[in-house]
Amino acid sequence: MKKILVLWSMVLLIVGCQKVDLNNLAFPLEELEAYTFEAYEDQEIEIPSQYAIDPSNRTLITMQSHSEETGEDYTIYGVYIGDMNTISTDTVILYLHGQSKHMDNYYSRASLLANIGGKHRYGVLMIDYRGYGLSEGSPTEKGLYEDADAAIDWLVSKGAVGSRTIVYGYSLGAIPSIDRCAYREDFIPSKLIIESPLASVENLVHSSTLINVDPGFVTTLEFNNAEKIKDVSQPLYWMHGVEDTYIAIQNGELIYSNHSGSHIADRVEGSDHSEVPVKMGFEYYLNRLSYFIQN
Amino acid sequence: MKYLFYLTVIMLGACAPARFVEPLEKGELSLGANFGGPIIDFAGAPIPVPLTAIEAGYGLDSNLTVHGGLHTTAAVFGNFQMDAGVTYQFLKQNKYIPNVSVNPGFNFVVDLANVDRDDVRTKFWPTLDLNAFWNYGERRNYAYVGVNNYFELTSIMANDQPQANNWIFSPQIGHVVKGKSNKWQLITEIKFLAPYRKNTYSFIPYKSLLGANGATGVFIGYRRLIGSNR
Repeated sequence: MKKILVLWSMVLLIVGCQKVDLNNLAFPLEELEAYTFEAYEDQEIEIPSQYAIDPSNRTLITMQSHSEETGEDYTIYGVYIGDMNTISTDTVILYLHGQSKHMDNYYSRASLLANIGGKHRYGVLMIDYRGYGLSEGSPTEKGLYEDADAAIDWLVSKGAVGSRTIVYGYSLGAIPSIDRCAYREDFIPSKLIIESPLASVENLVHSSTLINVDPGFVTTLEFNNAEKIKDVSQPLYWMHGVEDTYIAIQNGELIYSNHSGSHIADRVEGSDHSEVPVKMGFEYYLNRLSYFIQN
Repeated sequence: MKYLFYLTVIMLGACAPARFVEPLEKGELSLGANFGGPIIDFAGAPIPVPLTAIEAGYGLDSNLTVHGGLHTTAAVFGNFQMDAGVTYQFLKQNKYIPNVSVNPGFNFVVDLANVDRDDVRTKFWPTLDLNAFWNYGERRNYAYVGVNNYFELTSIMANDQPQANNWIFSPQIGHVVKGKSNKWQLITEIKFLAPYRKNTYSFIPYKSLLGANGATGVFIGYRRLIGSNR
C-alpha cells in the first residue's frame, strides 16, 4: 500500500508542479507577413461583389497599445475603410472581430459594414488584437480592452467623438466592446452592437458540465459579458444564430436580458455561429443595422 | 486547439466508470486504471474524450470494498482530483434476482496552485451509484446495469442563474470479464450522462446515442487483483 501512495505522490509531483492553463486556447490567432484583405481566400464569409470595397478606400494603419501589466507599448494594426480625412465629421463603426486568425479573415465582414445605408455612408475601423496578424505582443483578456482603447484613442486623434461612434463586437470582439462601452469614461460610444457573444467563461463551463465548477481550475479568463452588460447604458442591438453550435443562443439571451437600456434583438433562424449575416440575408442585415444606427 | 478546451472542461465534470460494482473479497487488493469519457464530435468524427484515472480498492469484507481513484488528466492542469467511496453489496443473486450493490462516495478537486491560500479553489460533490449485476460462467464474469447520481450542492450557477441540476442522474450499463483465477478484470461501460437534459446549450459538441439529449460516455478499465483467494 505504501508503494502505491508513493507512486501516486510522484505522479502528482511530476505533473502537478507545472500548471497548464487554457488561456491561449481562446485566441487561435495566426501571424502574418503581410495583409492581403480582399485577396485573402479563406475569409469567414463570402460577400457578393456589389459589397466589395475598392482598395483605394481602405488604409492600413498602426497604433500603440499600452500594457499596464508589462509596461510595454505594442504596435497593433488596423484597417480603416472610408475617408480618413473626414473622421471628425463622419459616423464611425469600430468593429472588433472574433477569435480566429487575423483581420484578413474578417475583411469581408468589415466591408459589409461599409455598405450600411449605402457605400461608405459610415467609416469602419477594424483592428487586429495583440499577436494577431502583424500586431505585436500576445493576447490576454486585459490586452483586448487595451487594444480596443488604442483603437478609440486613434479615432480620437482623428477627431472622432463618442456620440458619432458605434461599437460592433462579433463573438470574442463582444468582450472588449461591452467592457469599453461600460467602463471607458472619457469616450462614450453612442451605441453597441454585439453578434454571437458568450455570456461568460463560467457559463460555458457550467452549461457543459451541468455542475457548478469554478473555471479557475483551468483558466484565468473570465469574459464576463453577462455581468458587465449591466453597466452598459448605450442602446444595444444583439444578433445571434438560433442554431449556434459553438456559443449557444442562451448566452446571448442572458446578456440581452441583463441589459436594462433600450435594445433590439434578432434571433436568426437556421444560423450557426458565423452565419448570422448570411442567414439574415445581406440586405436585411444591412437594413437592420441601418435602422438601429439611425433610430 | 479547441478540443483541448473541451477535454479540460469535461475533465472538471469528473467523468469515470462505476467503481467496483461487485465488491472484492475480504483482504483483496486491486490496482487499476481506466480510460474514456463522453463522446464528442471531433472534426466530424465521434470520439470519446480520453480522460484517464488510476484506481485502487481493498476488500474490507466480502460484501464491502473501499476504493479511490486519482484523476490523472486533472493533474496535468495542476489540480488534484480524486474520487472515493465504498461499495456495499446488500443483495445476493438468486435465480432471477440480481446482485445489488450501492456505492456512496464523493468527488473532490483542489487547485494545487493556490493550495496555500485562504481562498483555495476546491470543489466537492457527493455521489451515489446503485447497480444490479449478474454473475455468469465459470469465472463469474458479470454484466451490470445501474445509475450514477451526482449531487450539486450549490443553488446558484454562473451569472446568478438558478442551479437547475442539483441531481444529475446517469444510467449506465457495463460488463466485467475476469481473468484466470480472477487475477485481473477488464471493464467496459457505457454511461448515458444526464439523458433528460438537452445538450444543445452546451459549449461542448457532445455526441449522444439519444440525439440532442445528454451525452454518451464510453469507458474501458483494467484491474489487477492482488491477494485474491478465489
